[in-house]
Amino acid sequence: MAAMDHSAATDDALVQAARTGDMAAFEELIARHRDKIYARAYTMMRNEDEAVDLSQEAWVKGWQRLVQFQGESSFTTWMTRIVINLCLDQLRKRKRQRAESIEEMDEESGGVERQMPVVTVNPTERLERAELRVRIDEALGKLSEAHRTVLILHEFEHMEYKNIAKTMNCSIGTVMSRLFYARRKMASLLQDLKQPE
Amino acid sequence: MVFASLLVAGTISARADEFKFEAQLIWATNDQKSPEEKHKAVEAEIQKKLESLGLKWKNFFEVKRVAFTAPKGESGKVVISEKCSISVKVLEDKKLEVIFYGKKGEVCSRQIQPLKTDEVLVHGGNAANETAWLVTLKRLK
Amino acid sequence: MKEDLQLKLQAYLDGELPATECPEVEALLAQDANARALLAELRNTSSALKGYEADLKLSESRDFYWSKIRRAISQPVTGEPVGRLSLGAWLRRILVPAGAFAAITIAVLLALPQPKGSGASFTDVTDSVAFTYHNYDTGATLVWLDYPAENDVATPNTDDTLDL
Repeated sequence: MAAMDHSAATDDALVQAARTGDMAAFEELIARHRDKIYARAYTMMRNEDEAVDLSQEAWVKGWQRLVQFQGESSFTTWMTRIVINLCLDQLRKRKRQRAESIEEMDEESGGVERQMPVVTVNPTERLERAELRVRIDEALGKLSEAHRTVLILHEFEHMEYKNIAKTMNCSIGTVMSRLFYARRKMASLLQDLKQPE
Repeated sequence: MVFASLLVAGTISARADEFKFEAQLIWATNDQKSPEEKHKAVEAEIQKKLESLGLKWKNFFEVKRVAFTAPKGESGKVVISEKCSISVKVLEDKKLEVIFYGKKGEVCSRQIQPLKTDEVLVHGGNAANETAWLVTLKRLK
Repeated sequence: MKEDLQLKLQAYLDGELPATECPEVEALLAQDANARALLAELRNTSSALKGYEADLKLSESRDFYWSKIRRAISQPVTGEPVGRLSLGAWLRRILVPAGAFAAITIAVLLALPQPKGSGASFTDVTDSVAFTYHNYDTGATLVWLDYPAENDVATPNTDDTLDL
């Protein structure tokens, strides 16, 4: 039987091969999708080293759980959920180790976001893509972990409110409040730029 | 195991059935100067090789340099400092067996690898104040 | 605008508002400029975030990234394979930011023999407290010993000329 040409194989074929223990097939899957998995971990954790570690841990878990992947979603979606859960575990572990920030207490009591003036300028119109990415990067770093997580799950993972609530172990109302605050805070932070000369 | 232990400063001559090596103890830091005046910056060739390893330190100072030999089929061992020593044995296939010993004589690492005369094997570890120690091994013959 | 209305506006944007409540929000949008501005702001923020992650790339080489995963999945599933991976972060602490490695060929060897025919064989046969990697361009091999900064292996001291 001819050896599999992994580089030309579809993801489905590679998954099937990896399930039989074909590490080269799994390695090809990693090569194809590692940036995406890493990117999600980095967006959540805001730390390169942690993001690399958690992304690698996600791949290891993916290998161990391959038999459970039934194709109900794309392979990358499945892997992304694994890395998100690992990141959430890590964030929860961190949170248990420190007191909640004042910002989080503010968020729970509500109201801050209602006082923010509406941002009328569309940041995507004013900025070059690279600059926008840097600004978004900075702004995401300024959100609390809870706000950033709900934003990521909604905006990047396209999860519905009820699934976000289940993932974050909170009510749908809390998801809606946090998402609203996170979006308004992002708009405010992206707005707070030096005007081009 | 028979160790032909030599600790000689400066150049030594090797017989035809001996292999000649040089080890350097180096301090890696981002400080511009070593607190010890007699520590000099390493030679350009070593600097380049150390830089190629992508270490976060930019400055490398030679603390000590020792040359030693290893007879064919036997280990040559040299004390680098009171806290470490290194032994080298040239194997049948010309590869080297390099063993790095800690201060209690325990084996910290054992490498089996080829080492050409223009190559370098570096052992390293953390030192205080976010610096590092390095021990380089070069084959001279 | 009351908070519950603002959240309904958001839900409307996200397609999460029950159909029965949509007319109320649509009426609000028709008559309230502030509501329209808020909706536009929320929409603009979502647009701005699109594509953000597309530019985030791993700087580690394919081989380097894979080698650590391979090692972990090659081990029997017992206690702490994950702990091994975290040593990678420790290794990265001794290196310059990974972006600097883009032009350098480095093979990370973690107690695994090279494939036959590679022309080189690097084997660390100890109990893996050492990480080894080799730069093929310059012929430099690094064996990094995992010791704390207090380092009781080979710290240059006053007897040897330098007290660290």
